Amino acid sequence: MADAPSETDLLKQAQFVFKGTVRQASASAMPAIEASEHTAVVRVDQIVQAPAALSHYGGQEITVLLTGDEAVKSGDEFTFFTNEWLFGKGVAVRSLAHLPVSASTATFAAAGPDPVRTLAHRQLVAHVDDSDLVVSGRVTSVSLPEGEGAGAPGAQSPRRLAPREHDAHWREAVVEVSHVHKGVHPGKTVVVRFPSSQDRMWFSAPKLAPGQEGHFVLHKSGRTRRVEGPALAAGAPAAAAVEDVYSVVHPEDFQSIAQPGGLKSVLNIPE
Amino acid sequence: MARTTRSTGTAAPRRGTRPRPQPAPGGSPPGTPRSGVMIVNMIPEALSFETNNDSEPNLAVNPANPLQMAASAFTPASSGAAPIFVSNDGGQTWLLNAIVPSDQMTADITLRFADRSNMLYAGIIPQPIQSDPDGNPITFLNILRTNNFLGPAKMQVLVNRTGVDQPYIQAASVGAGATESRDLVVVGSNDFNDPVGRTAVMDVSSDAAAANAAFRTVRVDPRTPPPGGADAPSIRPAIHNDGTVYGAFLALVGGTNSSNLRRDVVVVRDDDFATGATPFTALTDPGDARPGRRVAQNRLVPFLPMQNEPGPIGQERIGSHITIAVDPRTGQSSTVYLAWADRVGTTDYTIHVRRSTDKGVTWSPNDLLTITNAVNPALAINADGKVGFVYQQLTGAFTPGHVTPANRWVTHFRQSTDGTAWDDMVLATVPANQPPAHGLPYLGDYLHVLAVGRDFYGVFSTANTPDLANFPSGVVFQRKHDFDRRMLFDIDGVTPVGISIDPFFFKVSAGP
Repeated sequence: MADAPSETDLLKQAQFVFKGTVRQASASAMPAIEASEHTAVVRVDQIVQAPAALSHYGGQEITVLLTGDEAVKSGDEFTFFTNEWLFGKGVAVRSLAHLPVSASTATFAAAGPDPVRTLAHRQLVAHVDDSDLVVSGRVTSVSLPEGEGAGAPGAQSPRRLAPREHDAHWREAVVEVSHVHKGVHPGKTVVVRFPSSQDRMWFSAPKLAPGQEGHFVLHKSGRTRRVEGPALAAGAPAAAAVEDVYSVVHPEDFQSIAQPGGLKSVLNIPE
Repeated sequence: MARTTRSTGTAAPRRGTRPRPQPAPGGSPPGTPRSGVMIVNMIPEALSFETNNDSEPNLAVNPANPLQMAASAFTPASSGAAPIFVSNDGGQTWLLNAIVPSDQMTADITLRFADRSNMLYAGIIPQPIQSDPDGNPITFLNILRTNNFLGPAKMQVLVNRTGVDQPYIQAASVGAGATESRDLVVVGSNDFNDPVGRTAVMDVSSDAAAANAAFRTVRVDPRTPPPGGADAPSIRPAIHNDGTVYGAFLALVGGTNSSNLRRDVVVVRDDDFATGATPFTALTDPGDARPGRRVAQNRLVPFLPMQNEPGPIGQERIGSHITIAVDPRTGQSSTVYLAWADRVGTTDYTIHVRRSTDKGVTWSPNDLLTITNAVNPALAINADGKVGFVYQQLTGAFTPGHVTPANRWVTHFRQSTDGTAWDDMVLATVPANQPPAHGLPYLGDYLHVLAVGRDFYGVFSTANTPDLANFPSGVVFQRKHDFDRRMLFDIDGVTPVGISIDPFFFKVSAGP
């Protein structure tokens, strides 16, 4: 049998974390949900972290779907680790687990004044952790990737006549690096691919343009490029003559230098 | 409980209530409910804050219990599974239930109930999307099912394979009696795994409710497109309970770039539940004797906008719209309606409606209806043989790529008993320049209409300004709103919320 997840794991897995009081066990506050031994009506006493959609429910009673291992009774106070389930006239959430409030010290220690910002910060930290390279810098140019763009006007690539709805329409930005926050990058510049497509699949990805200055959370694209001459930093090893090409596809992979908070908070960059 | 709004209130009816028949709307003020028509903004009250572009809707109604419905749109969850809209009161109220195994939102989704099994099926492209070494997205086709669409369990994955776009699902229960009844599920999709570009595909299961449901992938386009070509994304099936299964798609035949692609409008047919040795080959073209009747040939179907340009028509993209419906009555599978969109002039995008009464062998030589500057055609035929037709038309003069306050997106529902005389009901008429597009598609690459018995049910996406003049057949909002001030509000009923694109459910009852 697998070990129960730790409080730290639960904080990572659950988006909506709150201290709550069980108002009625085996009950439901939403007509669409049939009450069962796995449902309870819980008053949200204190929200630790929340997505925007659930941030309004402090002080209100919501329906919690319990796991098969969970048992609660009226009057119990717990820290609930949950994710969203149903939205209607009210809301219902799925519990991953609940802990006694006294055993949730790490949870409440991590809480900030704004539950939405607390969750956003936690997710951004995880996002940066998952990245390969984080730099600050300025976009100096944007162009079609090498080998593309030779087709007829409007062609998606030289090999493809019929376009696809979800084509990414990749572009490559050259970013002049001013600071490396995470990872190793010997060059003065880094090439960053981004999808220029307005398709729903890619719309929220960063759209880079010359002159943009900010902070970049980069992920290896699987491509490399040969670096020559002045693009190579002084004293860089020979192996640096071939370097990774990175990509940005997540909305939080780029933050403008003028924007406060966000990556600046995670990377400890002064405002 | 949520704070009480100081607006005129959420107009969602109480559970268990039924839409009350209203007097005929002749001379009635805008927004007066039209008799037998129900239109509902599907965003739940608890999501009153949202401003997503909830476009490209789809709808399933359980024929065994038409109070049960499921619907979809580009509506994201905060985390984990993607949501679908669900209703168990005939569409009067809707919940958002996160049970689709896709990260926050799907890249495409359609869904359908079979007739008798109470099983809900879905065809989706799950997220996140991976990319090949060239950066091209690797999309997956997932075919899903659940026997409890209102419950918390994620839908079961029946099929998971790569290289597919825009799955469009149809389902039916076939076979007589409870013990012999089986769920026939057909999913049309654009499958890029064919090296020469015959990408129109149907995934078929003749027993999709079985414990180990098996699907078979059938390529239905026998003609090879020009090098680098492919069929258009919309591949649409239609099922009759007698075993006739139609398919419709737009095959590439020429062009040099996105703006001048030429396509044939092709209909294929199978007469044995799409389960024989050579499925979808029952209908041959008189011109080349190959499977797939070319209803129209060499039509100009531009796929626009070009990269990074605005949508050419009312902020919307164009390039692949086709729909097909078969008369569901016993002995009537020979009657089939087809609609597609192409360009007949220099800047238009025009929908054509045609009909066959001999199983697709011959077609009406001229359009039964021609609709200029319109997208998202959808057809259905009810138990009386009446045809229902939905589309969204851009009105007012415009220059491609530009939209002004004079342009409106008008969503029509039209009916005809003979394909000649059509009535016309406006479901929504909204300014086309608001809200500004946030990605494409703007309204969606499709919407849906279906018939259960004599009633028509459908779903469309459009701008959600709570202005009764925009909904001349009436409308109900679940999210916080004020019809008098024409404003949306957050859950607190006080904080204003900007307008966006929302999905709207509609039902048109046949009456006594």
